[in-house]
Amino acid sequence: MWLLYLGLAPLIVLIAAWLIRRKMYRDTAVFAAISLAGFGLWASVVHDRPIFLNTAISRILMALMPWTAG
Amino acid sequence: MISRGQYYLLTVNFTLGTTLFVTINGMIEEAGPDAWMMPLWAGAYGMLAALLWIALLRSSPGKSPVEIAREAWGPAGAIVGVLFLIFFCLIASWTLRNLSDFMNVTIMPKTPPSIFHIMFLLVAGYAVAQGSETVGRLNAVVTPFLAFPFWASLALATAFWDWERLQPAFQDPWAIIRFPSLLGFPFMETFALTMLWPRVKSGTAGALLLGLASAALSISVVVFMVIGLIGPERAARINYPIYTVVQEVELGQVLVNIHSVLTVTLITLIFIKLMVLLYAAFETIGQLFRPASRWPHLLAFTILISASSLTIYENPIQNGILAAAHTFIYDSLHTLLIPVLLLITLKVRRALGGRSRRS
Amino acid sequence: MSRRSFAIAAILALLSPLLASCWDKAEINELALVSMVGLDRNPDNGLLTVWMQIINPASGTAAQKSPGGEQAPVYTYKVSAKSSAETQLLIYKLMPRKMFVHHAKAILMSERTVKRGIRDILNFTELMPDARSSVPLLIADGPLEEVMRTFTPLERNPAESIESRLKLLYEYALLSGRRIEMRDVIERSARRDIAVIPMIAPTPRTGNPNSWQVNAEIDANLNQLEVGGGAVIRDYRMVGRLSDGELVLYNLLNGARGRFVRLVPFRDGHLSVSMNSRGAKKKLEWRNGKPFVRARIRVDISTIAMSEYHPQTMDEIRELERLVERHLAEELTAFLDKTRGKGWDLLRVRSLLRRKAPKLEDLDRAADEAEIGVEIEARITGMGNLSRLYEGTGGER
Repeated sequence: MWLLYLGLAPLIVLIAAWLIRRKMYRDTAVFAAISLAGFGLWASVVHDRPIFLNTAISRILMALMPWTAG
Repeated sequence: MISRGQYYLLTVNFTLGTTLFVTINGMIEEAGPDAWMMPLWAGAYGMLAALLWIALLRSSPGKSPVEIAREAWGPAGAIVGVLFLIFFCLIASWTLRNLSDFMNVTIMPKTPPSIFHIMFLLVAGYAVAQGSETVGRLNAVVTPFLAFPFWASLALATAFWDWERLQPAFQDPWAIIRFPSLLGFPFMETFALTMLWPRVKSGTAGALLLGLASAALSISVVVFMVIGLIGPERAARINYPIYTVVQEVELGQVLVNIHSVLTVTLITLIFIKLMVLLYAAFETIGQLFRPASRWPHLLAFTILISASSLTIYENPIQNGILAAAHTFIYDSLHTLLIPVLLLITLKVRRALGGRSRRS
Repeated sequence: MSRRSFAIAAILALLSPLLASCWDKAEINELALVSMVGLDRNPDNGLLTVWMQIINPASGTAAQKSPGGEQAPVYTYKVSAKSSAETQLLIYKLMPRKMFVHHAKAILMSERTVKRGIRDILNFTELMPDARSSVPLLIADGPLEEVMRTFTPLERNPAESIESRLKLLYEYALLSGRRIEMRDVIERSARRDIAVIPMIAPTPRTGNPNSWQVNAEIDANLNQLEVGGGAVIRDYRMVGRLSDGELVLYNLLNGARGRFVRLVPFRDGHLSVSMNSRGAKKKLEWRNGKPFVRARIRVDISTIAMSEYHPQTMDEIRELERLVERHLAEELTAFLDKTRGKGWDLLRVRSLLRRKAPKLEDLDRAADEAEIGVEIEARITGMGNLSRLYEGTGGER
């Protein structure tokens, strides 16, 4: 667990900071979006509450089905 | 820029990728001795879908589907781009998870799955950062090292062939129609190769179609051999029948453990599939947001996909149940519905634009 | 070094922990190479006993030459538990190395275990990704405890002794078939077909000799293992037994190719005819709506063993060929009648019907009702070293 917060979080922050220093603001935004999504998923894994993606997709598709069929 | 031959090989290796060990068991369970026909129909269907993509890509030459979405729908096209991005990332996670499951069950039970995921992502990321030439050439160089050991291992196994296992034949040739998930996977995932389309010098359409046909034929031959070598009863139950086939090869009582050769071939094929998917995802964000740097985003992808590989499904059994129900729909949304809508939009707009200019 | 090269070198160094053999490596001297496995389930208390015969790596030729360096070629470990999974773990109470089953050469099971049904044991084996089912299965005719603790002369590793004997029996006696492995039992039982696998028994013992004593004893029949006879397996269960003579006929009917000898009645006595089977073909025909199976077997006859009579003219040759054909056909038909009466479909008629006429409603009944015609095609092709036998008195007859 500590590996996540001691390792991954600083890594993301450092790279984002480096990108900001080089004034690549768009890059920072894209990088932040993807890596924070990854961080969120890792956090869920580490805390023993994994967000199963295929269940999520399945629920989204089931919710969409009556809407498209109707 | 890559040549059409490299594009062809990328198509073949991408399609073969995880198919060789994820679906063989499923196909034989459903269709018995006739399961070798299923990949042929799936390949035909894949080629039809590919014709749709070719039509879309030819309507706006030099552009990838994400750029076409931006052109056709403006800002809404960015949402389509993000959908495609998620699509590629999810398939990449699925691929990696299939790989680590296979390795954990067969040869390396104690290695944590994340090691496989991160290792593959870092190497694939490095290759993608170098550009399409690296991706194309790497695949072209590696293919002979994959093809020869693979087919040689299978050929060695034919000492135990028995035609009885393939009989009664032709009882159920249309079985695949009942199983849309087997129809969709893996041919609909080859949509990722359309992101590489603008980088191919010429003859892309032919290379894509021929690649799909070759892959379908190869899978069919492999299924045929698996049935002939271990029989439909065992192949329907064994999770990775091709691994068992090679495990039982005995060359003169001395060479009895050559299945690790096959494992290396399979994981390299999966690496190529991952590399193409990562390239597709990277190109997508490149075309959507035009970032200036490369490696930070590839590192971000590594973080994201290594996490999603762990959470893509709960366990292989749950994956089987949900995948059978939903992959076809999910894949069709991205690889059939969206391209069709894009194509219609473009044609309508060009027809209207032509008329308004003439008037 | 430029910053970029330094960065790349540092990254590569940091990535090296990902070289993933840290977790799953196994040095060869940490492995216990399993050569033979024995299984027995006690019907009274449900306890499963597993014997593992491990190769002793120190028993190579170098060790043999050194004084007092006589080592056992194999060690047998035994463990008992309620289930197969538990035995796999409990073995480490006795065995100091990690089990490596990839090179196992034979699996032995006790008769009482196979008679009760081995479907669960076979499921367990197939669930293990590292165990190969392409290993011959033998049924122990006698206490498995004794069989697993028996050394063999000449070929010091019992599993290899058994393996080479099975090969020789197939080629030279038709007393062993080609489909005698665990995977054949699994496939055939899953298809409701029949398999016949060899049996093994301990020969008379004189105490508890160790490997050196067995190899120093001139009587190679004592304290050893004998392979012979066949166990009929159907639905994962042993339903009966075939004698040596019947085993040859079974293998002949199912297309085995090897040499065998038959005593054919001729004039006042018998002829020893040595034959080489060239394979069998089964054809399904329909007569009056009922299935008729035509089994055609080709054999090549050699005069090599015929010390009683030697044909001299073409007519005599043809007469001998017809004689052999008739005798074999009668023997095979009688064998089939007897075994079909017991419910053993040793010609695998049901399998043939399932392949050629899959739309039949009741395959079992059709297989029972099917008529069988055995046809033999015999040709004299080989000769011994004599063109004419010695005549005169002083013979056995």
